Parts: sequence; C-alpha cells; structure tokens
Amino acid sequence: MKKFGLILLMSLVAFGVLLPILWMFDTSLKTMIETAHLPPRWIAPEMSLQAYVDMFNFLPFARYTLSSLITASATTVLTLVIGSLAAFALSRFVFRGKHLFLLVMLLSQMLPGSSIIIPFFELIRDLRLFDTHVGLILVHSAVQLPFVIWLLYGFFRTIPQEVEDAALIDGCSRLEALFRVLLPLALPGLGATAIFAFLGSWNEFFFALILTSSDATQTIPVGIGLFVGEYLDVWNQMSAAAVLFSLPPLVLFLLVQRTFIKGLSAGAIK
Amino acid sequence: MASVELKNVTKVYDNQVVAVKEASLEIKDREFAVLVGPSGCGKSTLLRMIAGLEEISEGEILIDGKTVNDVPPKNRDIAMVFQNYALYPHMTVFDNMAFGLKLRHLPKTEIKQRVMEAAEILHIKDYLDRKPKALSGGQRQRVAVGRAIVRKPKVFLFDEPLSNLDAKLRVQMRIEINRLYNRLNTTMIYVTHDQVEAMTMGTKIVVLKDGVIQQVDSPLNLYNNPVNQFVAGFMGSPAMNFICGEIQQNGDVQFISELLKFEIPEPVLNKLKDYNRKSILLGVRPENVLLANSVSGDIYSVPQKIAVDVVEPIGNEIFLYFRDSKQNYCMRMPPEHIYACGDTIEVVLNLSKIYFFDSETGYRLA
Repeated sequence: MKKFGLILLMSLVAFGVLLPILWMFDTSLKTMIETAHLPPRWIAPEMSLQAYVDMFNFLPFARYTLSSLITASATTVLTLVIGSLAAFALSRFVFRGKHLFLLVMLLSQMLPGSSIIIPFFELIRDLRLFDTHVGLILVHSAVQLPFVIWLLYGFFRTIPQEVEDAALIDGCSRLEALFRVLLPLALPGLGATAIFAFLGSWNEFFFALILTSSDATQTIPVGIGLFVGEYLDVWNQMSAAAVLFSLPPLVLFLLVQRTFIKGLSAGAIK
Repeated sequence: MASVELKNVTKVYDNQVVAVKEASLEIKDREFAVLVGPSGCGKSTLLRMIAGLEEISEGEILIDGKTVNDVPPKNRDIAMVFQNYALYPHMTVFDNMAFGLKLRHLPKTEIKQRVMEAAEILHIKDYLDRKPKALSGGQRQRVAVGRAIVRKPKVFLFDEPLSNLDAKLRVQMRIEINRLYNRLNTTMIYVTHDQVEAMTMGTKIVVLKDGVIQQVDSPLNLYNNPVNQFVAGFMGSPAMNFICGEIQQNGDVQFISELLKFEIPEPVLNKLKDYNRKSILLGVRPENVLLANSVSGDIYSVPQKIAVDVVEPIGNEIFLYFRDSKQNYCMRMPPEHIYACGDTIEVVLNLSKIYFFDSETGYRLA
C-alpha cells in the first residue's frame, strides 16, 4: 500500500515535469494558426514537421548552433583545466586562507546574474571582447568556475591520500601523480562536472543576450528568444527549435551517465 | 641497500602539535627496524618523513650517508607498503607493479621479468590481469608488497601493512614478510602498533611514545631490560604487572604492598637506597609469578596466599587474575592446574626477574 502511494506520488511529479516538455513537442508539430487555437488542443487536424524546416529559414540556426558548440566546449575545457588544478591544491594542501577561499567561491554563487552583468559588460567592452566568442567564453567560465571547483574538490577528497603517496614514491612528481593517478580515478567526477559545465554554458541565456549582438556570435538560447517578435510570435518554430536543441544535452547525459554511476575507485583501498 | 640515520628529527604540524620530538636513530644497512608504539605516538609520521611524504620541521635524515631533507620521495630510492594497500584501482595487477618501473624507463623485457619474478615469490601470478577490486584483502596486500619489491629499492618502508587483514592472514603474512626479508636482505623499516609483530619481525625495535623515542634495542633486550615503565608495559602479552608499594627498612629491607611483602634481594638493594619509605612501582611479568609448591630456592619470595579472581584458560596455558583494591594482576601457568574463581592459592615471585620503577617518572631503578 505504501509502495502504491509512493508510485502514485512519483507519477504525479513525473507528469508535472513532463507536461511542459510534451506540450512543447506537441506545439512544434502544429501550424502557426493552430498554436493560437482556443481552447488549446493536443491533437490538431493538421500536424507536420514543417516548423522544423521553417525555423532554419526564419533565423540562422546553423550559425547559432556553431556558436553554442564553440562557447560550451571551450567553457567546459577551460573550467575543467583550471578547476581540477585548483581542486587538487585545495584537497591536498593546507594553506592560509583555504577555507576563506572556498567560502568566497560559495558566496559568489549567491549573487544574481543581473547584479554582476554591468561590471562584466564594462570589463568585456574595455577588453574589446564584446560580441566575440572569447568574451562570452571568459564570462561563462568565470560564472561556472566556483561551482566546478567545489564539485571537483569533493571528488578529489574521496580519493585516498595514500594512493597519491604511492605514486609519489613510485616515481611521480606532484603533477604526474595528478595526471597519471588522481585524474583517472576522478574520471567519473570529471565526467559529471564536464556535463555540468557544458550544460551551464549551453543553456545560459542572460549573459549571452547582453554580451553578443550579431548572428555570428549569438547562441541558441538567444536565437530562440528572437522568435518572440514585435508583431508575431512563431510558437511552433520556437518549440521546434527548443525540442531540437534539448537533444544534444540529453544524448550527452545518456552517454556518460554510466561512467559516473560506476564507482571507479572501488578496490583502491579496503 | 643502505643505512638510514635520523639526527634530532622533529615534526611540528601547522596546528602546533608536536608529532615527533628530537628523534635520533641509526638503522644500519640490512637491518629490519620496527617502529612500535600506541596510536598517535608519531611512528607513522616518522616513517612518512623518511619516505619524504612529510616535511621535516627540524633535524636531518640521511639515507646511505646523504642528507635527504629536500629530496622528493621519487629520488630517495625507497618503496613503501601502506596499511590500506593504496593500489591504483584503474590499473591491472601487472600495471600496478610495473608502474614505478615504467616511470623509470626500464626496458620492457626487464619490467616483465621483474614483475613475473615478484609475482612468483608472492604467489599472485594468476591475478596479473585482474584489477585490484577483484582481489581479496590478502591478495591486495601481496600486490602492494610486489609493487615495492620490483623496484629493488635501497630501503623498504612498511606502514602497518597487516592491520587491515584478519588475524589468521596477519600471522601468515608476518611469516612471509620475514621470509622476504631473509631473501632480499635489504634495509627494512616497519611500523606497527602490535608488539607481537614488532618482537617477531624486527632485528631492532624502536619504541615510541608521545613523539619521543623511548628505547632502541633488540627484541629480547627490550623484553628483558626495559628502560622505563612504558616500555616494560608495552612489550609482552599479557602485560607486565605493576604493583604500587613501599620500601621499608626494619632491619632488613622489604617491599610492602597491599597483597605482597618480601625481602628485597641483595643485588638491587643499592639502587633503591634513596627510596626508603617512599612509594615505588614493582614490575613482574605474569610468567614470573609462580605457584609456591612448584618451585623452591632462594631466588623466590616467601609464599603468599592470594584469592583467584578470574580464570582464563587459553589451552596451552592458563591466565589467572587476582586483584587488590585498585587493579588486576595476572599470572600465567601450565594448563594442568585447574582452579575456579574464589580459590585461594599460594604464589611466589621470581626475585631474579623483578623490576623497580620510580612511581612518578616511570624510570627503571633496578
């Protein structure tokens, strides 16, 4: 009985989560006139994939996709490289101000994006990086990095000190120990963190909207936002774009989830 | 093969905790030195300083006559076996053992030969393709030992390598490490909190307490000539009995405690002359408390009646416990005697094997 109640509750939660996604998919198959039909209906007389074709003519989505890929990939690589070095130091060395540093990074996550956008904007403009991929990558990385460091710090701390000690005695320098032993062991954590960083950048709308202005640099979330026009809201194409661009993160997640469910460090110590 | 020398080595952690205090020690080439002491005594810190994993706050460590204070672990030519094995979980057994050799760019054929040789000695040839997680605790520790011996280092360091194994396996591995020592004939430094391991393995035992080296000696010397109450109580199981009493001089000099009263033998009298009417600690090992009717001679004290409190039959011997108002005392005897709780027996002490300690400092007086 208790189990039944639990299943019912979970189904309700799942339904609540899935409903908007289903509606988005449904809308993407409708014609533009049908999207304005009152009352709204799930099954329209005419349903097609036309919106998926039209969206590419309406806005330069190939360009947006490229920009999104460049920005998200570079942000992932940059945050992971800096983040793992920082997390390694934080998890292995005792130094003055360590806890303050961790605390400040945590606090930085509590600032709303809109409160820091103006300094960011000025900084990027003065560096002549406005409306460039590099500018957006730097800002995305700066925003993601604290959380990435915290995540990796947690993963590194679960790797026993002795494994690293053994590597040092076996002939590794500190950095070799990091690359040959610690990072391979932290692979599940790195994977999870990489996905987090990638999705964070891929989905990010606000900074991308403010810091870019041309088709060549705008990312997909900004592009989807542009469907909301002054006179015309193309809901079906907007939904089609949203459906299409939720796919890469989904695929990515399915691909790597196995690595980070599997406890890779099993067997290191007792 | 090398000697290891410590000169006034001190370790102070950032939080001002002194883990090791002015430790000086010389471990000769091919010696099997065991660092032993209760947990928190600084023995592991000392070992980690020799390995180069822990910075030395003060003093000097020399390996093979060269100061290594600032030499990173990889250049000290040492190998270490850890309590929790510390294998590389993402590598096979073979790669775990070959890792250090690959880093040193040895030719492939030699790496293979050395790993196979070690695997042969340690009986792990069948597991070379497995990952550590597919091995039992005992097998993992063999791999860890294998990883150390393929390197053919100058010095082997062991940090409580048997503590994670069950009792039976521990005895077996103890024998194997002993055998390995005889075979490799290299300097070994072994850390343990288990005094039986220390006694059975070491050629030289270093007893530590609160970061200070108490005594350095051969196993038997340590057992027979402890320098203080701590060493006397730490080595030997069941532990030495310490009986608090007083020296009284009424014609002849006597030791008097709640349970005991005997004349202090001639040879030690001189050393106790300052302790007249002062409290003093008598130390007697359980095997030197004997049944009165089983012995005779003037090295034994006058028989004393005592009530048995607890009986512990071990099989090959029996431990009898009795107590005064403060603590328990133990005697060990052959298994033929059958006693029950509450029986009264007559015991004597072997006065040629008793110790006296200052009751405040713990120093041995006689």
